[in-house]
Amino acid sequence: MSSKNTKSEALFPHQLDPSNHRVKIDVHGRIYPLEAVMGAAYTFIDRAYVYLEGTPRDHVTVHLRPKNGSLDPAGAETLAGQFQNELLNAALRLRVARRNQKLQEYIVSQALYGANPQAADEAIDQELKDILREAEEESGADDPRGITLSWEEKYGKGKTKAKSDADPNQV
Amino acid sequence: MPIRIKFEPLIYPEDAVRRAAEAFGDSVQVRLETAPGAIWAVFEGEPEDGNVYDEFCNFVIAECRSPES
Repeated sequence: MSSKNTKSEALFPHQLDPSNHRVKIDVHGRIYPLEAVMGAAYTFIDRAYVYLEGTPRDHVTVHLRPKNGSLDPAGAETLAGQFQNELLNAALRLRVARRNQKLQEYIVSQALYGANPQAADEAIDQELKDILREAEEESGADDPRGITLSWEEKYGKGKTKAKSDADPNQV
Repeated sequence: MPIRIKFEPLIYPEDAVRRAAEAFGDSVQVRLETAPGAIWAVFEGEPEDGNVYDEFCNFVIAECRSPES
């Protein structure tokens, strides 16, 4: 595959493949997470054919081919620049979404609680019961020596009686 | 000669590629081959639309963005 670097290589790390009318963009995996790359790629699928390859932790190579066919160096530069901008946009949105996730969950839960507080209370009660039941089941399963059992549960009344019936003088 | 497109499992979930293969099953003969570190979409025959392979890749990306993935 013959490819040449465009003049704008210093700005955008991309290459133009004139024979296939494709532009290839290398994305650093430590700067842009895969979700951001995928998000940016998704916004381009209406105007370009997109193919991704590489290892997300290291780098991802994005191949773009415009759907209208031809691609000259200027068009390649524009397409690569637009993709880089969209990539930055997607990465920023992802970061903001992660930062505000707890706040969003809180707002939604408050909105749901305000809409129907009785149902919300019942749901919370049910969730607490489920958590307690699971905890009890787990504690029983992880207690092979019966440490959490009471004395009566562990030894029973029969054994108590048998012990009390034994000869008190016998040592 | 069949056309083979490689999908990296670290980038593309297998479910997304599978759903794309199911969606394109009517227009082109496609089967999936899984190997360690690769999912191959193998296209047999001559499709009417020459862009079908690129459309397939776009479809996979769209599937990756769907809530099911």
